[in-house]
Amino acid sequence: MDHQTWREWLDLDVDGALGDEERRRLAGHLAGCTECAAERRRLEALAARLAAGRIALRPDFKASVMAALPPARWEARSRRAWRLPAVLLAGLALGAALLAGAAAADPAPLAGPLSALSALGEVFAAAIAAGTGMASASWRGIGSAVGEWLAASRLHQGAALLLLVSLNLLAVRLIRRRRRPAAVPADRRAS
Amino acid sequence: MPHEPLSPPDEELVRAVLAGDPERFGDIVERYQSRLVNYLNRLVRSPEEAQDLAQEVFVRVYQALDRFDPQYRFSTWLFRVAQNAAIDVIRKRRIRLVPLTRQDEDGEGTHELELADGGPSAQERMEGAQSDARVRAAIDRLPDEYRELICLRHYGELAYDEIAESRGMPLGTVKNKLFRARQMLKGLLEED
Repeated sequence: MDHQTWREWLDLDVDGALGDEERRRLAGHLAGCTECAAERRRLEALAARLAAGRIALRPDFKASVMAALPPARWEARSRRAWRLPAVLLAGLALGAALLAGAAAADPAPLAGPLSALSALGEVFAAAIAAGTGMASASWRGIGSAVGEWLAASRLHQGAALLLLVSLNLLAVRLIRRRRRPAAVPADRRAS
Repeated sequence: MPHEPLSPPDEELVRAVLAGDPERFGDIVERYQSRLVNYLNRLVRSPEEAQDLAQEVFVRVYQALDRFDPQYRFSTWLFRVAQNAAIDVIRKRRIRLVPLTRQDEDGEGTHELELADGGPSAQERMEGAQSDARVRAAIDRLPDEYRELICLRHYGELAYDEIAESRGMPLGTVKNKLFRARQMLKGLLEED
Protein backbone atom coordinates (compact mmCIF):
# COMPACT_ATOMS: atom_id res chain seq x y z
CA MET A 1 0.00 0.00 0.00
CA ASP A 2 1.36 3.49 -0.82
CA HIS A 3 2.07 6.23 1.70
CA GLN A 4 -0.82 8.35 0.50
CA THR A 5 -3.29 5.70 1.65
CA TRP A 6 -1.45 5.25 4.97
CA ARG A 7 -1.72 9.00 5.51
CA GLU A 8 -5.43 9.00 4.78
CA TRP A 9 -5.82 6.17 7.28
CA LEU A 10 -3.70 8.06 9.82
CA ASP A 11 -5.92 11.09 9.40
CA LEU A 12 -9.07 9.03 9.98
CA ASP A 13 -7.49 7.18 12.91
CA VAL A 14 -6.51 10.35 14.75
CA ASP A 15 -10.07 11.59 14.15
CA GLY A 16 -11.49 8.36 15.62
CA ALA A 17 -13.09 7.32 12.34
CA LEU A 18 -11.00 4.32 11.23
CA GLY A 19 -12.39 0.78 11.34
CA ASP A 20 -10.90 -1.86 13.67
CA GLU A 21 -9.27 -3.94 10.94
CA GLU A 22 -7.65 -0.93 9.28
CA ARG A 23 -6.45 0.30 12.65
CA ARG A 24 -4.68 -3.00 13.33
CA ARG A 25 -2.97 -2.85 9.93
CA LEU A 26 -2.00 0.77 10.48
CA ALA A 27 -0.46 -0.03 13.88
CA GLY A 28 1.69 -2.68 12.20
CA HIS A 29 2.84 -0.15 9.62
CA LEU A 30 3.57 2.55 12.20
CA ALA A 31 5.83 0.19 14.13
CA GLY A 32 8.28 0.19 11.24
CA CYS A 33 7.76 3.60 9.57
CA THR A 34 9.27 6.60 11.34
CA GLU A 35 7.90 9.00 8.70
CA CYS A 36 4.29 7.95 9.33
CA ALA A 37 4.87 7.92 13.11
CA ALA A 38 6.04 11.54 12.89
CA GLU A 39 3.02 12.41 10.74
CA ARG A 40 0.78 10.87 13.36
CA ARG A 41 2.31 13.10 16.06
CA ARG A 42 1.74 16.17 13.88
CA LEU A 43 -1.90 15.21 13.32
CA GLU A 44 -2.42 14.63 17.04
CA ALA A 45 -0.92 18.05 17.78
CA LEU A 46 -3.31 19.60 15.24
CA ALA A 47 -6.31 17.85 16.81
CA ALA A 48 -5.22 19.07 20.26
CA ARG A 49 -4.90 22.66 19.02
CA LEU A 50 -8.35 22.53 17.44
CA ALA A 51 -9.84 21.11 20.64
CA ALA A 52 -8.11 23.76 22.79
CA GLY A 53 -10.16 26.48 21.13
CA ARG A 54 -13.41 25.18 22.54
CA ILE A 55 -15.30 27.53 24.84
CA ALA A 56 -17.20 26.78 28.04
CA LEU A 57 -20.95 27.27 28.25
CA ARG A 58 -22.66 29.66 30.63
CA PRO A 59 -23.68 27.59 33.66
CA ASP A 60 -27.35 28.48 33.19
CA PHE A 61 -27.42 27.98 29.43
CA LYS A 62 -29.92 25.12 29.35
CA ALA A 63 -32.19 26.75 31.94
CA SER A 64 -32.24 30.00 29.97
CA VAL A 65 -33.11 28.15 26.75
CA MET A 66 -35.96 26.31 28.46
CA ALA A 67 -37.23 29.55 30.01
CA ALA A 68 -37.12 31.29 26.64
CA LEU A 69 -39.23 28.72 24.79
CA PRO A 70 -42.39 30.48 23.66
CA PRO A 71 -45.62 28.56 23.11
CA ALA A 72 -45.34 26.86 19.72
CA ARG A 73 -48.33 26.55 17.42
CA TRP A 74 -48.04 22.80 17.41
CA GLU A 75 -48.45 22.69 21.21
CA ALA A 76 -52.18 23.46 20.90
CA ARG A 77 -52.51 20.29 18.87
CA SER A 78 -50.59 18.09 21.29
CA ARG A 79 -52.23 15.45 23.44
CA ARG A 80 -51.73 17.50 26.59
CA ALA A 81 -53.96 20.22 25.19
CA TRP A 82 -56.78 17.69 24.87
CA ARG A 83 -56.27 16.12 28.29
CA LEU A 84 -58.17 18.63 30.44
CA PRO A 85 -61.20 18.94 28.13
CA ALA A 86 -61.35 15.15 27.90
CA VAL A 87 -61.32 14.83 31.71
CA LEU A 88 -63.99 17.52 32.03
CA LEU A 89 -66.12 15.85 29.41
CA ALA A 90 -65.82 12.49 31.16
CA GLY A 91 -66.71 14.13 34.49
CA LEU A 92 -69.76 15.82 33.05
CA ALA A 93 -70.91 12.61 31.39
CA LEU A 94 -70.49 10.73 34.66
CA GLY A 95 -72.44 13.39 36.56
CA ALA A 96 -75.26 13.30 34.01
CA ALA A 97 -75.38 9.50 34.15
CA LEU A 98 -75.55 9.54 37.97
CA LEU A 99 -78.28 12.17 37.90
CA ALA A 100 -80.30 10.24 35.36
CA GLY A 101 -79.85 7.00 37.33
CA ALA A 102 -80.94 8.61 40.60
CA ALA A 103 -83.98 10.17 38.95
CA ALA A 104 -85.02 6.85 37.47
CA ALA A 105 -84.63 5.06 40.81
CA ASP A 106 -86.47 7.59 42.98
CA PRO A 107 -87.72 10.76 41.32
CA ALA A 108 -89.02 12.36 44.53
CA PRO A 109 -85.79 13.43 46.32
CA LEU A 110 -84.44 15.04 43.19
CA ALA A 111 -87.66 16.75 42.21
CA GLY A 112 -86.28 20.23 43.01
CA PRO A 113 -83.03 20.05 41.06
CA LEU A 114 -84.70 18.05 38.32
CA SER A 115 -87.46 20.61 37.83
CA ALA A 116 -84.83 23.35 37.58
CA LEU A 117 -82.91 21.25 35.11
CA SER A 118 -86.16 20.55 33.29
CA ALA A 119 -86.94 24.27 33.01
CA LEU A 120 -83.42 24.93 31.74
CA GLY A 121 -83.86 22.09 29.27
CA GLU A 122 -87.14 23.57 27.99
CA VAL A 123 -85.52 26.96 27.44
CA PHE A 124 -82.64 25.26 25.69
CA ALA A 125 -85.02 23.15 23.61
CA ALA A 126 -86.97 26.24 22.61
CA ALA A 127 -83.78 27.99 21.54
CA ILE A 128 -82.62 24.95 19.66
CA ALA A 129 -86.05 24.50 18.09
CA ALA A 130 -86.03 28.15 16.97
CA GLY A 131 -82.54 27.68 15.56
CA THR A 132 -83.38 24.46 13.86
CA GLY A 133 -86.56 26.03 12.54
CA MET A 134 -84.44 28.63 10.78
CA ALA A 135 -81.95 26.04 9.67
CA SER A 136 -84.72 23.93 8.28
CA ALA A 137 -85.34 26.60 5.65
CA SER A 138 -82.16 25.53 4.01
CA TRP A 139 -81.42 22.22 5.67
CA ARG A 140 -84.97 21.15 6.03
CA GLY A 141 -84.33 17.47 6.41
CA ILE A 142 -81.44 17.73 8.90
CA GLY A 143 -83.03 20.56 10.84
CA SER A 144 -86.30 18.81 11.34
CA ALA A 145 -84.54 15.58 12.25
CA VAL A 146 -82.45 17.38 14.92
CA GLY A 147 -85.51 19.23 16.14
CA GLU A 148 -87.49 16.03 16.42
CA TRP A 149 -84.62 14.31 18.16
CA LEU A 150 -84.34 17.10 20.70
CA ALA A 151 -88.08 17.29 21.24
CA ALA A 152 -88.29 13.53 21.73
CA SER A 153 -86.95 13.45 25.30
CA ARG A 154 -85.24 15.46 28.02
CA LEU A 155 -82.34 13.06 27.89
CA HIS A 156 -81.61 14.22 24.36
CA GLN A 157 -81.78 17.84 25.47
CA GLY A 158 -79.44 17.09 28.38
CA ALA A 159 -76.99 15.39 26.04
CA ALA A 160 -77.06 18.38 23.68
CA LEU A 161 -76.50 20.75 26.60
CA LEU A 162 -73.58 18.62 27.79
CA LEU A 163 -72.06 18.69 24.33
CA LEU A 164 -72.42 22.46 24.11
CA VAL A 165 -70.75 23.03 27.52
CA SER A 166 -67.89 20.66 26.63
CA LEU A 167 -67.26 22.38 23.32
CA ASN A 168 -67.10 25.72 25.09
CA LEU A 169 -64.60 24.41 27.63
CA LEU A 170 -62.52 22.95 24.83
CA ALA A 171 -62.53 26.25 22.97
CA VAL A 172 -61.43 28.13 26.12
CA ARG A 173 -58.62 25.62 26.68
CA LEU A 174 -57.37 25.88 23.12
CA ILE A 175 -57.48 29.65 23.07
CA ARG A 176 -55.56 30.01 26.36
CA ARG A 177 -51.84 29.95 25.70
CA ARG A 178 -49.19 28.93 28.14
CA ARG A 179 -47.03 31.92 29.09
CA ARG A 180 -43.33 31.63 29.98
CA PRO A 181 -40.85 34.34 30.93
CA ALA A 182 -38.79 35.46 27.96
CA ALA A 183 -35.02 35.33 28.29
CA VAL A 184 -34.22 36.15 24.68
CA PRO A 185 -34.16 39.86 23.86
CA ALA A 186 -37.10 40.84 21.70
CA ASP A 187 -34.93 41.88 18.77
CA ARG A 188 -33.27 38.47 18.69
CA ARG A 189 -36.46 36.42 18.72
CA ALA A 190 -36.96 33.99 15.85
CA SER A 191 -39.24 35.37 13.23
CA MET B 1 -14.17 11.98 18.62
CA PRO B 2 -15.90 8.60 18.44
CA HIS B 3 -19.67 8.67 18.07
CA GLU B 4 -21.70 6.29 20.21
CA PRO B 5 -25.32 5.67 19.20
CA LEU B 6 -27.44 8.16 21.14
CA SER B 7 -29.91 6.78 23.60
CA PRO B 8 -32.73 7.59 23.38
CA PRO B 9 -32.36 8.64 19.73
CA ASP B 10 -33.05 12.27 18.88
CA GLU B 11 -36.11 11.32 16.87
CA GLU B 12 -37.65 9.63 19.93
CA LEU B 13 -37.07 12.75 22.02
CA VAL B 14 -38.68 14.88 19.32
CA ARG B 15 -41.70 12.57 19.25
CA ALA B 16 -42.00 12.82 23.04
CA VAL B 17 -41.90 16.63 22.92
CA LEU B 18 -44.53 16.73 20.19
CA ALA B 19 -46.69 14.29 22.15
CA GLY B 20 -46.92 16.79 24.98
CA ASP B 21 -43.75 16.41 27.05
CA PRO B 22 -41.85 19.69 26.47
CA GLU B 23 -39.33 18.87 29.21
CA ARG B 24 -37.77 16.29 26.86
CA PHE B 25 -36.61 19.24 24.78
CA GLY B 26 -34.24 19.91 27.67
CA ASP B 27 -32.57 16.57 26.91
CA ILE B 28 -32.07 17.69 23.31
CA VAL B 29 -30.60 21.00 24.48
CA GLU B 30 -28.23 19.22 26.85
CA ARG B 31 -27.12 16.88 24.10
CA TYR B 32 -26.25 19.61 21.60
CA GLN B 33 -25.62 22.81 23.58
CA SER B 34 -21.82 22.61 23.78
CA ARG B 35 -21.36 21.47 20.19
CA LEU B 36 -23.73 24.09 18.85
CA VAL B 37 -22.18 26.96 20.82
CA ASN B 38 -18.66 25.98 19.75
CA TYR B 39 -19.71 25.62 16.13
CA LEU B 40 -21.40 29.03 16.19
CA ASN B 41 -18.44 30.57 18.00
CA ARG B 42 -16.26 29.60 15.04
CA LEU B 43 -18.70 31.21 12.62
CA VAL B 44 -19.56 34.44 14.46
CA ARG B 45 -16.23 34.71 16.35
CA SER B 46 -17.74 35.93 19.58
CA PRO B 47 -18.34 33.58 22.52
CA GLU B 48 -21.09 35.79 23.95
CA GLU B 49 -22.86 36.18 20.64
CA ALA B 50 -22.47 32.46 19.93
CA GLN B 51 -24.30 31.61 23.16
CA ASP B 52 -27.10 34.09 22.44
CA LEU B 53 -27.40 32.77 18.92
CA ALA B 54 -27.40 29.14 20.06
CA GLN B 55 -30.28 29.96 22.39
CA GLU B 56 -32.13 31.56 19.51
CA VAL B 57 -31.48 28.52 17.31
CA PHE B 58 -32.94 26.20 19.95
CA VAL B 59 -36.01 28.44 20.20
CA ARG B 60 -36.44 28.44 16.41
CA VAL B 61 -36.08 24.68 16.25
CA TYR B 62 -38.60 24.21 19.07
CA GLN B 63 -41.14 26.37 17.32
CA ALA B 64 -40.73 24.45 14.08
CA LEU B 65 -40.43 21.01 15.67
CA ASP B 66 -43.62 19.73 14.05
CA ARG B 67 -42.05 20.40 10.66
CA PHE B 68 -39.03 18.19 11.38
CA ASP B 69 -38.89 15.38 8.84
CA PRO B 70 -37.72 12.23 10.66
CA GLN B 71 -36.37 10.74 7.45
CA TYR B 72 -33.41 13.10 8.03
CA ARG B 73 -31.29 13.35 11.15
CA PHE B 74 -32.19 15.87 13.79
CA SER B 75 -28.53 16.91 14.14
CA THR B 76 -28.17 17.86 10.48
CA TRP B 77 -31.38 19.90 10.66
CA LEU B 78 -30.22 21.66 13.83
CA PHE B 79 -26.83 22.58 12.38
CA ARG B 80 -28.43 23.73 9.14
CA VAL B 81 -30.69 26.11 11.10
CA ALA B 82 -27.62 27.24 13.09
CA GLN B 83 -25.60 27.90 9.95
CA ASN B 84 -28.41 29.99 8.45
CA ALA B 85 -28.77 31.95 11.69
CA ALA B 86 -25.02 32.64 11.75
CA ILE B 87 -25.09 33.79 8.13
CA ASP B 88 -27.90 36.23 9.01
CA VAL B 89 -25.84 37.63 11.91
CA ILE B 90 -22.74 38.04 9.75
CA ARG B 91 -24.78 39.77 7.03
CA LYS B 92 -26.29 42.18 9.56
CA ARG B 93 -22.82 42.99 10.87
CA ARG B 94 -21.66 43.89 7.38
CA ILE B 95 -24.60 46.24 7.01
CA ARG B 96 -23.63 47.95 10.28
CA LEU B 97 -20.10 48.74 9.03
CA VAL B 98 -19.19 52.42 9.34
CA PRO B 99 -16.77 54.48 7.25
CA LEU B 100 -13.21 54.43 8.55
CA THR B 101 -12.71 58.16 8.05
CA ARG B 102 -14.27 61.02 10.00
CA GLN B 103 -14.38 64.74 9.24
CA ASP B 104 -11.93 66.92 11.19
CA GLU B 105 -13.35 69.32 13.76
CA ASP B 106 -12.49 72.32 11.55
CA GLY B 107 -14.50 70.66 8.76
CA GLU B 108 -11.67 71.01 6.25
CA GLY B 109 -10.35 67.49 6.09
CA THR B 110 -10.80 63.95 7.21
CA HIS B 111 -8.79 61.66 9.42
CA GLU B 112 -8.75 57.91 9.73
CA LEU B 113 -10.31 56.34 12.79
CA GLU B 114 -7.99 54.26 14.92
CA LEU B 115 -9.51 50.82 15.25
CA ALA B 116 -8.34 47.61 16.76
CA ASP B 117 -6.65 45.47 14.12
CA GLY B 118 -8.93 42.47 14.75
CA GLY B 119 -5.95 40.49 15.96
CA PRO B 120 -5.59 39.12 19.45
CA SER B 121 -6.88 41.43 22.19
CA ALA B 122 -4.90 42.19 25.34
CA GLN B 123 -6.51 39.26 27.05
CA GLU B 124 -5.81 37.02 24.12
CA ARG B 125 -2.10 37.77 24.34
CA MET B 126 -1.79 34.99 26.82
CA GLU B 127 -0.11 31.99 25.34
CA GLY B 128 -3.18 29.77 24.98
CA ALA B 129 -5.24 32.52 23.45
CA GLN B 130 -2.47 33.34 21.00
CA SER B 131 -2.36 29.77 19.88
CA ASP B 132 -6.13 29.79 19.41
CA ALA B 133 -5.92 33.03 17.44
CA ARG B 134 -3.37 31.41 15.12
CA VAL B 135 -5.61 28.38 14.65
CA ARG B 136 -8.55 30.69 13.94
CA ALA B 137 -6.53 32.69 11.44
CA ALA B 138 -5.39 29.48 9.73
CA ILE B 139 -8.98 28.21 9.54
CA ASP B 140 -10.00 31.54 8.01
CA ARG B 141 -7.44 31.06 5.26
CA LEU B 142 -8.92 27.73 4.20
CA PRO B 143 -11.23 27.60 1.16
CA ASP B 144 -14.88 28.06 2.21
CA GLU B 145 -15.83 24.43 1.75
CA TYR B 146 -12.86 23.14 3.77
CA ARG B 147 -13.48 25.69 6.52
CA GLU B 148 -17.11 24.63 6.79
CA LEU B 149 -16.18 20.95 6.99
CA ILE B 150 -13.55 21.62 9.69
CA CYS B 151 -16.08 23.60 11.74
CA LEU B 152 -18.78 20.94 11.43
CA ARG B 153 -16.36 18.14 12.35
CA HIS B 154 -14.16 19.71 15.03
CA TYR B 155 -16.54 22.20 16.66
CA GLY B 156 -20.00 20.83 15.78
CA GLU B 157 -18.62 17.31 16.32
CA LEU B 158 -20.85 15.91 13.60
CA ALA B 159 -20.03 12.38 12.48
CA TYR B 160 -18.80 11.90 8.92
CA ASP B 161 -22.13 10.48 7.78
CA GLU B 162 -24.00 13.38 9.40
CA ILE B 163 -21.78 15.83 7.53
CA ALA B 164 -22.38 13.89 4.32
CA GLU B 165 -26.15 14.18 4.82
CA SER B 166 -25.94 17.81 5.84
CA ARG B 167 -23.80 18.80 2.84
CA GLY B 168 -25.43 16.43 0.35
CA MET B 169 -22.05 14.81 -0.38
CA PRO B 170 -21.06 11.14 -0.66
CA LEU B 171 -19.34 9.85 2.49
CA GLY B 172 -16.08 9.19 0.60
CA THR B 173 -16.02 12.79 -0.59
CA VAL B 174 -16.42 14.07 2.97
CA LYS B 175 -13.51 11.91 4.15
CA ASN B 176 -11.35 13.01 1.27
CA LYS B 177 -12.11 16.71 1.66
CA LEU B 178 -11.59 16.61 5.43
CA PHE B 179 -8.24 14.91 4.87
CA ARG B 180 -7.21 17.65 2.45
CA ALA B 181 -8.56 20.37 4.75
CA ARG B 182 -6.53 19.07 7.70
CA GLN B 183 -3.42 18.72 5.57
CA MET B 184 -3.80 22.31 4.44
CA LEU B 185 -4.51 23.52 7.98
CA LYS B 186 -1.46 21.68 9.30
CA GLY B 187 0.65 23.27 6.60
CA LEU B 188 -0.65 26.76 7.39
CA LEU B 189 0.05 26.36 11.10
CA GLU B 190 3.54 25.02 10.44
CA GLU B 191 4.27 28.09 8.30
CA ASP B 192 3.89 30.33 11.40
